[in-house]
Amino acid sequence: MTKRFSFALALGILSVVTLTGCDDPRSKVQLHEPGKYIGPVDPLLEKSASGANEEALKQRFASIQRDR
Amino acid sequence: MARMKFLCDAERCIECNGCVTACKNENEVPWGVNRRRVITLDDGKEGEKSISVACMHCTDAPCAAVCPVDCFYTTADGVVLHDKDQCIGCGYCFYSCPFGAPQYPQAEAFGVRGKMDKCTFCAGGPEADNSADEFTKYGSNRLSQGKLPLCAEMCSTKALLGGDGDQIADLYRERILRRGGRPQTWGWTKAYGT
Repeated sequence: MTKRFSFALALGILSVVTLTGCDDPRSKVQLHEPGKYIGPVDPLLEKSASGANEEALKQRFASIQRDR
Repeated sequence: MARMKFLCDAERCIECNGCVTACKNENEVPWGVNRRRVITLDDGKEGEKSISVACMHCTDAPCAAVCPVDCFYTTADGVVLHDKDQCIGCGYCFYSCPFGAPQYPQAEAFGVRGKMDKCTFCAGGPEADNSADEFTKYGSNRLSQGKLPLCAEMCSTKALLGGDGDQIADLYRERILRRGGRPQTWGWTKAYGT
């Protein structure tokens, strides 16, 4: 192989290796729509929506936060 | 459906900071952050008044309105919570909050803000209820256990009330009827300036 061919081959391999380090940033972008929460769902949401704790909280308030 | 609120009775608050200490201890709040603070007006002068301030869990929360990544959500009983993993620490919620509730721990040098931290009404965050992850990130989740925020439960004079807004309103009304309201705050002086 000639020197020129070897040099071109080495340059080509180096270019390919360098380009593989350039990840597509579009794959890691998180899109947000205004007013829409996209985090994990809090288990407390279901409990508060059903009112399961409501009576317990009212009794707790009445027993602890009212004047003695 | 109950609506959770705080009310601090300024006539009863003695600036003991018991609420501040209770909150910090219960939730292991990061260094440099005070989820709850006691503000005193006319400190040292006659007629000084103190009031305990934390996140007021607004019905139309400005922090949620301005958040660029919408990391806030509200429970059915009105508690405003947020997801620290979504939070980018931009500080917009701090700018918008009239109470200065969102705060940032000084996690790094050069004033780099960490994730926003604020009062959660002792309701934790979007992790499994009462899990180690939830406690590390958001503090205790008393609400899921049927308990109310510790700051209100620990208040030595029962100045700070936390719970269902209707119950708080009834209780406060009873107090006003019993002791009389201040004309400077609610009465003639406020309305007519005389």
